[in-house]
Amino acid sequence: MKFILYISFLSIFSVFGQEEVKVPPQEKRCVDSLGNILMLQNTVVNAIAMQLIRLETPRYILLRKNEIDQLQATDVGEILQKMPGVNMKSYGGLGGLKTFSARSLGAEHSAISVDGFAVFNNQTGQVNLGQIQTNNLESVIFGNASSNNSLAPVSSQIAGNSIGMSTFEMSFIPDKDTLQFRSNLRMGSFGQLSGYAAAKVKVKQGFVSGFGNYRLSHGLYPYQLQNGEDTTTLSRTNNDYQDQYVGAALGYKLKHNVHLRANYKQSKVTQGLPGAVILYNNSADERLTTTDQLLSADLRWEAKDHLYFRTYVTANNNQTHYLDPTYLSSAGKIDAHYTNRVLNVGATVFGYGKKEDVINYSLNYNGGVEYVLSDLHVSDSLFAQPVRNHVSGIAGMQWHGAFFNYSGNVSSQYVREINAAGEKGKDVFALNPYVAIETKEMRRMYWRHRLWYKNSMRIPTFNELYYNNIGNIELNPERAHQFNYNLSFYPISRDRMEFLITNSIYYNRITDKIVAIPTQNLFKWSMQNVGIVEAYGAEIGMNIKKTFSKNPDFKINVYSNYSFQRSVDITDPTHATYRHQIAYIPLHTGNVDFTVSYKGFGVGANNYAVSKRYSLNENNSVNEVPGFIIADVSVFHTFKLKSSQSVRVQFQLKNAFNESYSYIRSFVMPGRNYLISISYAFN
Amino acid sequence: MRLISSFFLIVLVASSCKKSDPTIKDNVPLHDGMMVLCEGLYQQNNSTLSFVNFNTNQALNDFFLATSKRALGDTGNDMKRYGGKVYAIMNGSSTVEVISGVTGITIKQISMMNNGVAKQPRSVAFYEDKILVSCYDGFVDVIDTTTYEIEQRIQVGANPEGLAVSNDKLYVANSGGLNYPNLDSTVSVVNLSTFTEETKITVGLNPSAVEVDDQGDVYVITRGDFASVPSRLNKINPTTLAVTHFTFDASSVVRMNGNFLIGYADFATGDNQVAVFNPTTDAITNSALLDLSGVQTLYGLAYHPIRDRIYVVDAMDFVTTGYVFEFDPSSGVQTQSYHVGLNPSKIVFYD
Repeated sequence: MKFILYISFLSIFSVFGQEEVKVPPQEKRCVDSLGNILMLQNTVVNAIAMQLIRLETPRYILLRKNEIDQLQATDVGEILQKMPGVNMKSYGGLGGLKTFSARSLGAEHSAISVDGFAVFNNQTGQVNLGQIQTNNLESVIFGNASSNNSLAPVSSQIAGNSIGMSTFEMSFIPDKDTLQFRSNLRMGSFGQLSGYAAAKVKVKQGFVSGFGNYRLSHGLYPYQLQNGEDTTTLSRTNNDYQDQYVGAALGYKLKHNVHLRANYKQSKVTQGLPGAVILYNNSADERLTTTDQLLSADLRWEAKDHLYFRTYVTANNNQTHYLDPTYLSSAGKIDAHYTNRVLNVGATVFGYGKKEDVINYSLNYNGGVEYVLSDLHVSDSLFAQPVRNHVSGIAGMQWHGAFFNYSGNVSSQYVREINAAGEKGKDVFALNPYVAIETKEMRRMYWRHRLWYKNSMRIPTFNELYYNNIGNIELNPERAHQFNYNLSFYPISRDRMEFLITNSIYYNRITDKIVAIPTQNLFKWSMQNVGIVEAYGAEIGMNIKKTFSKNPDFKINVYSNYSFQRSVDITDPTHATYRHQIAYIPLHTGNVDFTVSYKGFGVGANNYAVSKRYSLNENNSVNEVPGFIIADVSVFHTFKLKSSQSVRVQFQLKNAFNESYSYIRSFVMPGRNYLISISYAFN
Repeated sequence: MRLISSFFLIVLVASSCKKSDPTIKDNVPLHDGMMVLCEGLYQQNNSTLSFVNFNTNQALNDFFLATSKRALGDTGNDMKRYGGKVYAIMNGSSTVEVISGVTGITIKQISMMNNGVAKQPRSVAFYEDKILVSCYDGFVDVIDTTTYEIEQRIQVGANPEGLAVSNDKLYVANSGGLNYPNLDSTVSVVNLSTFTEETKITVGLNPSAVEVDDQGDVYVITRGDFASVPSRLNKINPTTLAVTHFTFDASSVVRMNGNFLIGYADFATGDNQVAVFNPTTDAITNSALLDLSGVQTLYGLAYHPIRDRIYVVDAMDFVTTGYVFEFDPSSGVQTQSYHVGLNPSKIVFYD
């Protein structure tokens, strides 16, 4: 199954163990590696794909490079919005803010990691997915509740849900190759231009890679503005964008199955902030510059048979410069600098039983500890000078009985704040459990049931605790309780047709929800733990791949999802919004992605639909934000120059029907636009 | 309350069909009602006008869109009647919307931009044939009532808010709100024959609303710092420019015949009060005129002299649609309630 794999690292063990299947050599490689990362190597997946898919439990959704290409995504946000239960908020434009929430938990409950290293932003709690590009991505994996990988950072494992990405630059070179090269050029509407190149050289038992990327756009896209009975065409202003990053990575395999990796990357983004489209007022001149340095390294090894350790460290220095040159204060501007530094160190362990050369996975165990030190310096003297010490740990096990698989873990978190400039936020200590039970595959039974509960929390961000006027140091963590039932119909392969279907229903309850409410007047808001949100929903995903016996080069892929999300405010039965749908959570989302290819040529159609939403929690017509259906079409051609060189040329027409739409009220999205992309890969 | 809400929702739905209601047909004079400016929320373009019909006790929300065929804009901050016209001051959209005082339909939209930068108008006052609009960029714009041309800009203090005219002088409250925590404390006195600032008077921290009594005395609300410095009423003697500071709580002031209604919303306790203040004796004559137990957030006040009714505007929690409550000042009892738009604040009557 090449199009999309629902794969679990751990479940591979369980299923093979119970069926007493001899471990294929490729699987051994999976175990050696960081789970999903090497799992993505085509050789591995192709060799055991059907076995895996037959036997796995769809805890995770995995997209690999060719799927990413077919989704026509230019950033990770566009990929993730195609996953069930996911709600994306996009403020428009290249590099514009995109945030992600799954099953109504809110963006701050999602942990994001790249190459097995957690990405943090303790100032806002949100990572801008619009600035994570796709041209170096080997895979994206998304999971609710349990992490995709027991050797992943502890912070990813204990979050409400997690997104993991792996890049070309940080993966080991296959044994047969000595040099790998990837490059990509893109050109599109609104002055979009981007170039990416990365080279990776084998050095003895390791590799060295170098990479760089540059992209820019003037962003002056036209949009249609409906105002009463009139529709006018205007152009977005102050929406220019430019980013660049360079970096280098190395990896080395030592004796005794020891793997070492290290990576340095620095980036700079300069952008105009177009802001909301305000009726009758087209002024916009705010600027944001972001510079970032990231150093990460890890070491993982097999201490003895089937006992794996990993230690990791990440140091990140993120600086933002916000400028409003026409702010109507006496200074005539806002010129603020923010520096958010994060040091993250941790260790994780994973082990499983073994009986001779047949793996007996009846009992697996995992654990980890992590320490995150972060601080924030702000040029504005009113802001606090917070330093956060965050220690977390996890211990879990999986046990496989005759008919059921059981798994569970407990995580703990301790947070201690320091504020040299005043009062500090509360210290936090919490224990969070996770339990799951799932049926095992029986002969001729293609269905699997899975039931789980997870308790998680998210710590208030620095802005929520300390931001001028708004911050509230009395905030408690926001807590999420997730209950999920999942039913999967396993992929079957008959007559050159592969078929996978999965359904989930869930109930989530978020307590102590952190919301901004006015305290003194409309201009003086404060963060408070006042909200209780109840969310229930259903998801159905279907994936079909069809080839034809008469003409095996002719292939059809269909990938579709539908999500229903009812997310209601149950804070106060006397309040006007009691049991109203939470702002910006659509009742219905869905996508149908369709690709037809013949040899190297193909056409694709991607459709994404979101039902109406409300800009505030009160569900009235004034607050309604219309739903939309966006269709993208593409044609592509993939061919080999020589056996080791491949080229992919793709033309995309985005928003083909020129739909006027927005995710967020007053933040309009671009109309019809095109993107031409040429990729070259060596090995 | 849910029953009331449901009732008004039904009314709202029923009344939202323009053709079915004669009061929102184009060019039909409005009588026996009030226009309520609902601020909406910043950057949401959801400022609206609600027209309340006193005969049917119906609130027709989104009246402006229904009759003027376009949206009012972003964050309406002030609205007053002057002659046959009503002026709505749109802070986010940076416009002054000139609305018919008869039909409620737009007559003219005045753009308030300065070299591409929004002036962010805040409040309006009038003097002879001039519209005087305070703008957050530190100026008061002088606009002709006939041509709607901006004739000149008078420089005042930082982030001016309320303003009022007394004895050919304009008094402008300089809040300095965008210099927080270094808020302003002054009122600019502008000579309306030369349209220049004569002086600045220190009145107290964070001046906001300005009102004038029958004697020409100028009263200014100073909102304080929302913490240790409370929100209070102050009086400026227009002759001597001497300032008197009153010690009772006050966050809004409106005229009721010769007296003032003093509104106060205590956000710490959730209490709301409307008191009666006699500007002749400078004394509170009734400290709790109305039974405001059903009001969540007192956000505006208006008095209708012919109907002899007080209208209390409730912004609820600022993120759900609000109410206007009608009170009988003699008994202090609520007589009607109207469910209007988001963050209602200002009222203009159509008699």
